[in-house]
Amino acid sequence: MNHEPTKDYFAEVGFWPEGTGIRAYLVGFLLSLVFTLIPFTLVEIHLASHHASFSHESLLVWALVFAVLQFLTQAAFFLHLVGKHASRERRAIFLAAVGVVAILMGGSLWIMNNLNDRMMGNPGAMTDYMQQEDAF
Amino acid sequence: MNHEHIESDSRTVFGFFTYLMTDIVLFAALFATYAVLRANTFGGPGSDELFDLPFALLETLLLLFSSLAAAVSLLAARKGSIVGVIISLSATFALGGAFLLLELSEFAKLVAMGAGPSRSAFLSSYFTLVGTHGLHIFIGLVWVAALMAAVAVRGLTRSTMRRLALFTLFWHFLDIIWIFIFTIVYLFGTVL
Repeated sequence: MNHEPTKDYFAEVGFWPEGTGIRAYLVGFLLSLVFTLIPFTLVEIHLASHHASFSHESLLVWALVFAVLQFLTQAAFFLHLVGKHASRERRAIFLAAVGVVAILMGGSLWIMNNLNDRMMGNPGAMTDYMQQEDAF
Repeated sequence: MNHEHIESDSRTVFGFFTYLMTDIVLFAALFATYAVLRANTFGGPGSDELFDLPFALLETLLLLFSSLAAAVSLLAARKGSIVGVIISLSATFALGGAFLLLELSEFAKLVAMGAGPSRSAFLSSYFTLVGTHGLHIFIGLVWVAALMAAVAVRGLTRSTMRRLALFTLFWHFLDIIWIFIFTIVYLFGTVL
């Protein structure tokens, strides 16, 4: 069917809020660029100083912080999930997915780390312990 | 353009967005697996030896620019400019294709040095996570090529506009996933 698209087809189907222009995308793009270059630079400085500048833990935290910031930036400016004209249904499904992801990743890491601790460092330790305790 | 069509297209956009959210859950499972198996190198090379950060940054920038180009195609479509759409989609394709070529070259290099997916659990999970993303990119490239052909032949109809919107959502989503690959695989990998 060949229709002339009306003034803003994408706004009509709820893809983006009316009046969306290049500005939103440029802001999102520049912020994403910054949020990519900052953690990259921090890690490069760390490596160049042979792991002297910044501790491992702080780097990990900051890299994650900037990843989340860029994620939110792209969700807002590219996926149009933020703002009063944004689709509430899409935001709801998005938050549901984020929740599932948090449980999946957080839970997996928690459980596997916990199991790791309980393994006393090596697979043979359990067998040795049982032999020692005459459990066989 | 009547109201019924708008309603139907709205639902399609929403449905596709929901599918993308489930795809995020799929990637979360792959990320969780990678995070757990990161250190299981089975005597083989680890992330600190294998990953080149500037190379990963280049891939990141290619994908980011590609995402912007896809957004520009929507703005061109809204203006009714078929030429604008084709040019920006070509840029999307070229940048995304460059990304994929870089990634495939990295995979080939790893396999050649004996660090292929069967070397260790760490490498299996790495190839699966990054490879799955790469497969999505490949499918996106095929999709955008088909879209360019459709727009060139049939113009900016309601159907091609809708498909442009869906593709752009898909492409942005892939860039979002890559943010986390860049951070968790490459940034973390060279630090820890």
